[in-house]
Amino acid sequence: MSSLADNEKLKDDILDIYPAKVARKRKKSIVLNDPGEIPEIQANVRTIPGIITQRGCSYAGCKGVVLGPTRDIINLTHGPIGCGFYSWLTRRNQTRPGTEAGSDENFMTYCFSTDMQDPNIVFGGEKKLKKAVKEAYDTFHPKAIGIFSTCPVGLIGDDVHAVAREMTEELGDCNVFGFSCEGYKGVSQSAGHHIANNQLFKHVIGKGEEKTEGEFKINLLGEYNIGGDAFVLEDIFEKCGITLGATFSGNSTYDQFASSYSADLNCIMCHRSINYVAEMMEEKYGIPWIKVNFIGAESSAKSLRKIADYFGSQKLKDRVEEVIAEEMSAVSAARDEVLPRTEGKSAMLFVGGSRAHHYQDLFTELGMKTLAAGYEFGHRDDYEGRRVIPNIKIDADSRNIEELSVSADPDKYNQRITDEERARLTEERGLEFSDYEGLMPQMEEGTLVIDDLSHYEMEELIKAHKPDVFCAGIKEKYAVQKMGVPLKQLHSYDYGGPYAGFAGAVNFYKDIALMVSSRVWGLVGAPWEKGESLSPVYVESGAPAVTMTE
Amino acid sequence: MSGAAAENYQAAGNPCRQCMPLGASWAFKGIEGCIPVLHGSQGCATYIRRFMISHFREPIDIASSSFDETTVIFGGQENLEQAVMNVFNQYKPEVIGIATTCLSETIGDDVERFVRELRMKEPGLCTLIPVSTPSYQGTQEEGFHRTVFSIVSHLAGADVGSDAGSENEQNDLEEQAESSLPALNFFLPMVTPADIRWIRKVTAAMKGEALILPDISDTLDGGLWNEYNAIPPGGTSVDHVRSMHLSEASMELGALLPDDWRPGYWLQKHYGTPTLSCGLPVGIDGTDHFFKILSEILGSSVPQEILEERNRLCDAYADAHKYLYGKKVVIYGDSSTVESLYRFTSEIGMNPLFCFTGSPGGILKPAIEKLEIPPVADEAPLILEDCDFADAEDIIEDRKPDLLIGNSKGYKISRRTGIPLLRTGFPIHDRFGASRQRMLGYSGALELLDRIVNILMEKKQDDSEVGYTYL
Ligand code: SF4
Ligand code: SF4
Repeated sequence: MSSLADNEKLKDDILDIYPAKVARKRKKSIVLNDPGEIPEIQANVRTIPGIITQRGCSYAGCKGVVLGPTRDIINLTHGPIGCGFYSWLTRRNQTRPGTEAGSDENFMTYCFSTDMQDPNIVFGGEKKLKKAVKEAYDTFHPKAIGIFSTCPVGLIGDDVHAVAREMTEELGDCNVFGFSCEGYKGVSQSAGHHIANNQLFKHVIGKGEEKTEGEFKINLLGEYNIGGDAFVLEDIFEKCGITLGATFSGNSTYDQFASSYSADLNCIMCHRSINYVAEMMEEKYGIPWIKVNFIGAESSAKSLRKIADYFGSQKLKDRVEEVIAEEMSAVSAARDEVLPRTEGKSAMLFVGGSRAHHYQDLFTELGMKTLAAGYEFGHRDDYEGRRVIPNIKIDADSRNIEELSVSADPDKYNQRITDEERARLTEERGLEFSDYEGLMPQMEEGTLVIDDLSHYEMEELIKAHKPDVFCAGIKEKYAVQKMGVPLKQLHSYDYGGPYAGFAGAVNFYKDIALMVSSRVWGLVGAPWEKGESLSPVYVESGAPAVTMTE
Repeated sequence: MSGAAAENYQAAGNPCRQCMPLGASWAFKGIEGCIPVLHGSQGCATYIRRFMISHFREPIDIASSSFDETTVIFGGQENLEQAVMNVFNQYKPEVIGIATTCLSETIGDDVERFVRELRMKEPGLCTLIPVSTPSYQGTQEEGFHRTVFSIVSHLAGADVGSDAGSENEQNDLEEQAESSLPALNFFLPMVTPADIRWIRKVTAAMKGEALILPDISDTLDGGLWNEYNAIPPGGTSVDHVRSMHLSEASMELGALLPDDWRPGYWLQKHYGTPTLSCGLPVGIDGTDHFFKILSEILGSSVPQEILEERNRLCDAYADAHKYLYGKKVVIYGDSSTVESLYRFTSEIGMNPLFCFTGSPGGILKPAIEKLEIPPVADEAPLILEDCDFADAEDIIEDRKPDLLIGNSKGYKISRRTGIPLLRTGFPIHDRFGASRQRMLGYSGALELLDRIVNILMEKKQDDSEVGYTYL
């Protein structure tokens, strides 16, 4: 097993197998970390053809990730059958339809597709699409229908936006909007998130009546309710007396999106998938944003305190402290119980666009060290912090994604906090607005940070370091486990979850403790294969009947 | 979906089929040392990987030529070349299987030509097998069969296809073939690794050697590794495929497709390798038929052990009859699974009153009609092709079956109606051990029978107010 000191060599060995051109490109995405002087990492660039990647397509990011957790918007895939089929209810985001009449809609379990056939490819599919929208409407009468373009659609020139406009007019009480999220646009799901959020911003946010009532009103952005994470957070906010207007987009409703402009603070969980919405909402409606992290008990406490500081109310601050104290007693007890099994162990995390960062907090709480980490679809700012944004090169792929020009809404803009107050909070309370410092400052010197880890690189990392647990997704799970290392799925959680908040931290502690102490890995290879001598012990009178171990 | 809306619904609501490159990837995974590359945007490869991995619970590497916007405009040749070279350098595969996707087909990429040109440029390259799989023309079943066909037509024999071996090699192969047990080619639809193992075992028991294409028995259901493997071990070797025309005969099991896509038929036409065709050996009738053919070709009799299995199965049929007779069952999934289960459930006395598949193309319906099995009830069974779950749900509600048999995607209907669902076929994402499910042969039928009886018993017991422990 190698140590961090050997990482420079490991990196060279990994690059060695690639042809020169590929090696040159990959080299920039594999860096040895230095938290003192954050090195530059290449991120959000095209995966090289033939390199087996964790990444999906922008359709997946748009339809699956951002709109996937919405229960009362019908998501209609325009394309051949596969894309729609594979994105049908495979992420484990949960939702809780209301009980009163009209709020019980849940289309998440349905898969709607125009199922394009040969003639549609040749002659165009707009007619079929209109019909599909009409049929979905006639059957379910939803408030809104989203149309998602797959690769062939862009190519044959179907105009989903024109169809959407026409159908919105025709149907009258149903908001139909389209997404140009063809899979080839952008380098990963991240492009799809952006396309999705832009359209939500244009077509939904701000279209509702202000109805979020409460003293301390927030929105939670970039929380997708995998494994019920958002439920845990909803509970915590309620306990603290914080009103949650809308969550983007876990356990959400169309109406919550529409009236989300009336909250007084935007809290961002996953910076990658949604930071631009927070920026746009600030410009248009005057809502400031802060970065929060509810993965990890300590980080959850910290995030709650940030929110309380922002509102500045002593009542809220006291309540938040009470809740933290209450929750922490269970957390510490659970932690003490598992620490003997987890302390000193190691982890690697290659997942998503924020999780590879957030979950390091939980491992720290478990006394485990993160040896290597990276994102599947992060950008440089998710690694190095937002300060590098002005220096990020805009390539053809990012230029493809529409940048909305936003200005203050004449009726709905309301600056929530004065510039002086903002400065005071930053100065006195350390509350940073509109900022995210990224993953690298938190990782140790000499650890490996790798963007868009390839399948082959993953195998080399595992061979070299044999971590005690590897965090990624289902695509990586069985390959990693074949090599004798347990894999924790962090896209759709396996073993259970939720993992957010205090209750979630307790779940995570227990699950990881079980994983790192599993006996399965010790059973690989029969004793005689390993050359152990087989000397059976014959029964003597008086000896116990069953002896399984010597 | 209900009533008039459902009748005219043109688009798919909860589809009951997947797309072509999935079938292609499945077939390529059954070749030794093979990595599939999907020619198109990376999303298709990622989705298909995730879908198959969740079913088999095994590592499945599928690369992509990762189109971007410029590729879409200028064509994908350069991307494909890069993809092939990078896969070749990283994994040192023996074969790279290249399947197209909707996107590369829509822009009109000529992958056969790309492959020819690349091979000229890079003579040291491994075997490349291209196949055209646009999903707007077919489902995973067509994708699978087209790919198996491509593999055979590119590799088998000496002078057909540029990847076939040289003449010397062919001579070696002939010698090899002569020295060992009589070889039999097997072409099967998308069956489980466990069922493929069964084919190999019984062929060996009958003193023959089974060349099964594709053979996913190890590649998609392997053990933990003592040492690291870049590509999971197992699969049909390229050499074996090359020598398939020299086999004693080919057996096509459950071949429902037209002749153009039948590899056995192709071998017979080009090389005179005799081909026999029968349904998948499911149930007593089906398996009897299979063994009759097998013992004829191999000139050996069916071993006692297998006859004992048959006898135990007959006994179980008799014992199970009181639980199964007249029970109404709905079967769905890919055509060949549905056709087989239609025969099986009829044989054990159930009433398969509604069968459906998402595959269009007039395959399932004629296949079932050809069986001429007299219906158990007065009402003739309803067989629907190109049918999705949204349409099927109304019919199921109407016909009130006792049991659903099919893949995981029917769970929503099962949950809503309370009708139990026995998982078979693909995908199975909500039960464990999909690769080990058995259906073929007497022993496979027995496993299936046990499962069917038990799920019905469990339902009866759970629904009973008394809570009998004796059923
Ligand atoms: S584009 Fe075609 S090949 Fe790709 S996932 Fe969709 S249906 Fe399948
Ligand atoms: S065709 Fe395009 S949209 Fe569909 S899965 Fe493939 S990459 Fe994604």
